[in-house]
Amino acid sequence: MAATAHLCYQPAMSTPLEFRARAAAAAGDSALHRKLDTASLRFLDKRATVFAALADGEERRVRARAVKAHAVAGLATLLPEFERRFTANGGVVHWAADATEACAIVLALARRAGVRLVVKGKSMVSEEIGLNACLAAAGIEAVETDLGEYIVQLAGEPPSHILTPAIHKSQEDIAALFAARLGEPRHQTAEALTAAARRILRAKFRAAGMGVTGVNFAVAESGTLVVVENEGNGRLALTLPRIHVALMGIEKLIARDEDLAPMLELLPRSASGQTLTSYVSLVAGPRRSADVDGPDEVHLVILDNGRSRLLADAELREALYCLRCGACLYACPVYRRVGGHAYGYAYSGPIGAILAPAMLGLEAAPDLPFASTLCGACRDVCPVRIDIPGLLLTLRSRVVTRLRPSRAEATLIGAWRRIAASPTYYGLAVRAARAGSTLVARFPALTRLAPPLAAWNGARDLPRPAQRSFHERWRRRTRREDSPRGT
Amino acid sequence: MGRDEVLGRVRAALERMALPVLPPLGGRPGEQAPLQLAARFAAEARGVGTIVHEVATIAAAAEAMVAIAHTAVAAHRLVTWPTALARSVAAAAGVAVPDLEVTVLDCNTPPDVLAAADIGVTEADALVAESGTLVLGSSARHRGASLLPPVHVAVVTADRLVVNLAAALRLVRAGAAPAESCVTLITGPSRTADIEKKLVVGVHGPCALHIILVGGVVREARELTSRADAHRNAKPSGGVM
Repeated sequence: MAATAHLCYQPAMSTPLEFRARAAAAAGDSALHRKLDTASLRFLDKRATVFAALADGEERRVRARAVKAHAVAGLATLLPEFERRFTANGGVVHWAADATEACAIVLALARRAGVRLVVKGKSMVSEEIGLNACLAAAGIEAVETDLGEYIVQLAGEPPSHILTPAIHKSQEDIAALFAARLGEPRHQTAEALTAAARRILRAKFRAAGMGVTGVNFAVAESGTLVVVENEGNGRLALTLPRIHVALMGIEKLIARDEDLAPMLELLPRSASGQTLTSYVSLVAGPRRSADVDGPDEVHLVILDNGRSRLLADAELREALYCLRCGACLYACPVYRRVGGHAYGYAYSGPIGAILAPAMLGLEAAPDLPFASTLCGACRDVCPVRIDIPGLLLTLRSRVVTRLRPSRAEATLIGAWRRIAASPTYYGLAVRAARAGSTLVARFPALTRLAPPLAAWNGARDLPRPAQRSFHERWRRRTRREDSPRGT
Repeated sequence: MGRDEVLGRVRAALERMALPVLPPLGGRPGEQAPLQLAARFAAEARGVGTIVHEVATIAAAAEAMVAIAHTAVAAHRLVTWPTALARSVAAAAGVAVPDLEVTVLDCNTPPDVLAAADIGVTEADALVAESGTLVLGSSARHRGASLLPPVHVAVVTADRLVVNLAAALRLVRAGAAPAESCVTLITGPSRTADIEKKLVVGVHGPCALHIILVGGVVREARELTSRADAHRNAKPSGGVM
């Protein structure tokens, strides 16, 4: 299997995630844009429909945000409480400070049980920690079983979307891939491709010694793990193999059982435009003596890996409310032009542009906070109303003040601030700009700004100021209106 | 080692952080009104591709089961939960359909039998009207019966209907201590949209989900919820129906 060729998700602090070069390449790939647009618009349509059908959609988002805010603020007590309940249910909790520890824990569990084959349900944490590469290095085969994840694994690529990993591939791409890697005939339909994956992966499920899954919610009150999915691969991975290992970040906790239903009613609507996904598994430990199937062991790896850094950051903390629904990716005009791979991190799109610098450190991803038009579409679709544009602005200001202080830029902005703050200076500046634009009209070559401003002007027209400014028109208008009324 | 480090960092990060107030418990307003639960359930379930058979009696349920077995392509092996309703309905199919081998699942059933089955028959602990969802427990019953065969048939009596997910989860939680190892919510057949966001039904789980709803008459929501609660609480040992 193609467990190799994984992008490294744990960049050393000295090598920042290369966003600019990859984004520039993807920005010229119109085939990619078509694929991303098709999928995104299909999703946004469905999402709008299911939210329109709710009388209290906004209220539900407010409530979900409150549930997550409470849990994140209470992690210091909720984590031990969850551990106590989950352990009482027969599960085993492991704690991992970083990706290396998390991988080592899973590897040790696999080795102890002599596992040769691991089947994997969808888990973004597993992408974050690079688990497949770690297992492969130890000679253990790890097979992705979510259809999208399976496709990108066959292609030797990381997923390019939190929820739709193969969003960057067309049906034709996938048919060619299955033919090349699996010796399948050139399948002509999505149904035939899916049937081929079902046939091949069913055998893997039956042979695997360990199933690895992600976690969508962990309920402290009852020690329950909740796995949300549509394909049934998650259920197979947490039912058939003798050992189930679940991976989650510390932020997946919620406090009460009662809060689960409202969260479950919101997540699928935001993630896939569904009322509820086909399957939701509420796992409360390994098989009981009365059970006839299910795993003998259930392990949970609770991962920090930079999350406590984000937790300590009062300005950015709300990024931990994220449910990983992927809605902000589909909604983002920048994501739809550059694709998920450009971000170079397991989490891409608007939320990835926050999580990467916030969890890995600013110097690891200094370009990502700038990969946004700040249009706010991400905030509008976020099920827990994370102020994504606001957090991106906070990060931008940190990049500028801490990483890239530029005397020239500071002088320019300072000058602009003085002009904009004074009506007199502002009026003068407007008049000067108008004079400049008359000049430009006569000599069009002047529209090309000199470097370094040329970089901005290369793909944009220099806007021409109107012949009369708003202030001037307003003054004239009020004068005109005043005079007849005065008589 | 890892535990102290992680929890230590979390505590340090949250120092001086006040705990925000949780939203109050309880359902949303408006859901206490009488609902035509069975009709709502059937409509929602059909909306996600579930085939709903509304029947009045257990005899009619058996007939529906026979019809399903007849129409399922190349169905030769049927496995069923050992619960009374599922078993009796499955047995009827075994009698009526030639070449259909019926196996009642128990702890001695070899895994290969379940893996090779064409139809799996189960019962549900609850039905959620608002989303067309089945709620299945795991105690003493094969989780694989609703997962491995390409056709899943759930037989349920209408007294299991509840309004919403919150009510269903309360119901499931009420009886069991310790909690059942796995409670599964099923809403429609297995599906994916991973290829160009096109919907494909039947990925790793069943390609077809049938629900035989027995005695699905219109009743008042609150009455049904409380009756189902009483039913559950009468059996504190949990799961087995």
